Amino acid sequence: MTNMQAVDVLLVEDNQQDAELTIRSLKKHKLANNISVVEDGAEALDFIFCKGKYSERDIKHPPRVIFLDLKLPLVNGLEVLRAIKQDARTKSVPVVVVTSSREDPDVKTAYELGANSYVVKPVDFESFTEAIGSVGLYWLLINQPPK
Amino acid sequence: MNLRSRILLLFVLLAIVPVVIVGFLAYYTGRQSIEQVEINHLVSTNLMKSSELARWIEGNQLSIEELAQRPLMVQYSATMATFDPADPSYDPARLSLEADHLRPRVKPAGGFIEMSVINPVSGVILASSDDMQEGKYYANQHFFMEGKTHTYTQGVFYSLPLQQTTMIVSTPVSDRKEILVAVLAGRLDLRDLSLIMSAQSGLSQSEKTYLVNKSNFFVTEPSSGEGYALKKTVRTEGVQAGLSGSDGVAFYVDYRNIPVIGAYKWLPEYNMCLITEVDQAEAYAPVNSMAVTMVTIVSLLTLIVVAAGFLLARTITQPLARLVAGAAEIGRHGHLDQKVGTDDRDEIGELSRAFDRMAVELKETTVSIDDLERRIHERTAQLEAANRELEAFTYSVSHDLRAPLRAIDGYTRILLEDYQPLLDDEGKRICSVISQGAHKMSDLIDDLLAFSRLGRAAINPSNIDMETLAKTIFQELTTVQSRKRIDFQMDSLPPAVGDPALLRQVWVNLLSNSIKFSRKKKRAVIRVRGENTENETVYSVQDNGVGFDMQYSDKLFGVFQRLHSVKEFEGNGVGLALVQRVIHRHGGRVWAEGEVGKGATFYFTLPRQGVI
Repeated sequence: MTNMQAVDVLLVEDNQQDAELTIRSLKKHKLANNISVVEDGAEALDFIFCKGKYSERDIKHPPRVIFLDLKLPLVNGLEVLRAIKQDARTKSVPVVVVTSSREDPDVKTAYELGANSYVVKPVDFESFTEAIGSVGLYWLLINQPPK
Repeated sequence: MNLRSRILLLFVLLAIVPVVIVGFLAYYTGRQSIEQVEINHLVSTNLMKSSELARWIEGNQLSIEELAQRPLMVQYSATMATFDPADPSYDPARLSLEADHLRPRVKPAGGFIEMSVINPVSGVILASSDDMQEGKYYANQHFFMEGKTHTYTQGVFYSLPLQQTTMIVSTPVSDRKEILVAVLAGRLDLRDLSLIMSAQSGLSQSEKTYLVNKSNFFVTEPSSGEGYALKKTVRTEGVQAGLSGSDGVAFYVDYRNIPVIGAYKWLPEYNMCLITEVDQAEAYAPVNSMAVTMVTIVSLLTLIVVAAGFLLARTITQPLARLVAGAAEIGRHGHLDQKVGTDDRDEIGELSRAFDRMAVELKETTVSIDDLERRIHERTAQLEAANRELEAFTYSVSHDLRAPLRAIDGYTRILLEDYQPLLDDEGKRICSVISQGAHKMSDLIDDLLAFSRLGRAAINPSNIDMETLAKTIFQELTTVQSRKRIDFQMDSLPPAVGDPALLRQVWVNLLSNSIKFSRKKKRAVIRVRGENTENETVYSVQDNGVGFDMQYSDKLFGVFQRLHSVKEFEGNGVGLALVQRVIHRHGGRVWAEGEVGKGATFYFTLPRQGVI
């Protein structure tokens, strides 16, 4: 299960179209080596903390960056964010909150919980590609994680 | 001072003050008239006593004159004066004189103490009722000198030969040829004078009359004591005044140190002063007793008045106290069912019933206010709930409407990228139209959200320099190139109080509109003005752009209302609605004037005073 251990990007997104567009954007920037997609908050927690169907994963190898939508079924994005940032094993993983609305009242809460970035998904596809690409580029290539 | 005390005080003042004034006046006039009566009495007593004194002396003078005219008296006196004592006729004459004429005039038979016949030449006593006096020498004495020619009374004096104070009456003894043969002298009993003086003339107990001689010695005994006459001196104010030769009345302290009213009268013929005094205490006794009666009456009256006043005050203040207690009950505890009304027919009773009526009305009002508050509370809760729903709705709209748009645009782009060879030009144009539609919808969503956000956001007022703000925004909205084409005129603008971010949006929208709608002019003119009226400040932005038809002016400020096509002038029709909303929330007004092809003027006002 080598490929399961070495995940670069975890995309938490319930909208399959958005997920597809995001993956396409990352691919365009040649950042799509290892992308895992989960569709709800509960599955996201299982993946990150290696539980349930992801129990074979090793928590010592967390994703290098997590793209997290806030509006999620079962467990919402803020809960997932809190769990990640409260756990010593996962709190250094960069979390990019990706949402549709700039009206979102959760921007402040997200930052307070320790979100590393907050990105509004533009309707315009070019802008969308640009935004996702820049963030991915930054967190995967430019940013230096702790060793 | 509370009401009860004031009523009481008023009562006491009304009742006591007149009594006290009348009493004082009565006392004062009583005292005055008593003084006058007393003074008159004392003066008349003095007159009476002085005439009694004169009568007494006159009586004694007549008595001694009668004696001097007796033939035997003349005969014997002549014998003794003419012959030597050795002569045989001398002794019988002396004995006869003494026994038959002199002694019967001496006490106890007569009024004199002693009576003597004096040799008119030598002044030696020839014969005397008192044997001890014979041979004594009186040549220098006044009574002797004067007595040679007429009947004379020597006022009280100190007689050296007698070694005592005395009063002597003398008269010449002459024969038929009017030849002086002797001087007859009689010593008067000053005790008789005392009796005359001390005889009570009125009902007064303390009244006394006495004589004082030039040496300040008592001549007669004052009725109040013994052993004063000729032994003690007196120098009271009355005595001094009398001795100085005047008559009058004075108030002073007498020889006993007791305050008196005294009348004094100088008797020049006797060199004495006649004093009549009465104790002030006795003189004023009637007015003093009247004063005591008065004080007693006033005291009793005061007691009665205080009691009556107290009772009256209580009948007034008790219902008031009940009212106060009732009002306190209503005021402090809100017991509006409290009843304080009485059946009294007076004003206080009326007040208490009015008070009850007020409480009833107050209760009704309170109930309706409570009801109103409850309804306001309900409405507020409903509004808050609606607001929360709206927020949630807004969030959903912005979030959920965007995702499909993003998909439309994204997949259209994928179609263009991945299936380019399969699409002809028309296919590509259709893809582009789909993309534009998605973008347009996205913009509409943004504007709609911005507009609805304005309705909810709190206004944070502060002082705003409108002139700088408008100028800055014009600079931001234009480029160096476009400014060459625009004649931007701005008067000095009054400052305003409002939310800086929101008012900034107002200027942005109005100025960008004026720039936009005048851009087809070769020479655009944009004029910004502001002036204070009584209650508000009116700002305006005027341009010479395309303008509008005034019949559509009411549609200008509606959401998504547009008077021009998008093709002609881009925009969503939200800008002016937003301006109106901001200004309304600040308590101001907006309106516009325009003419097609001539330009438009947009006005907005802000209240001048205070903070919204």
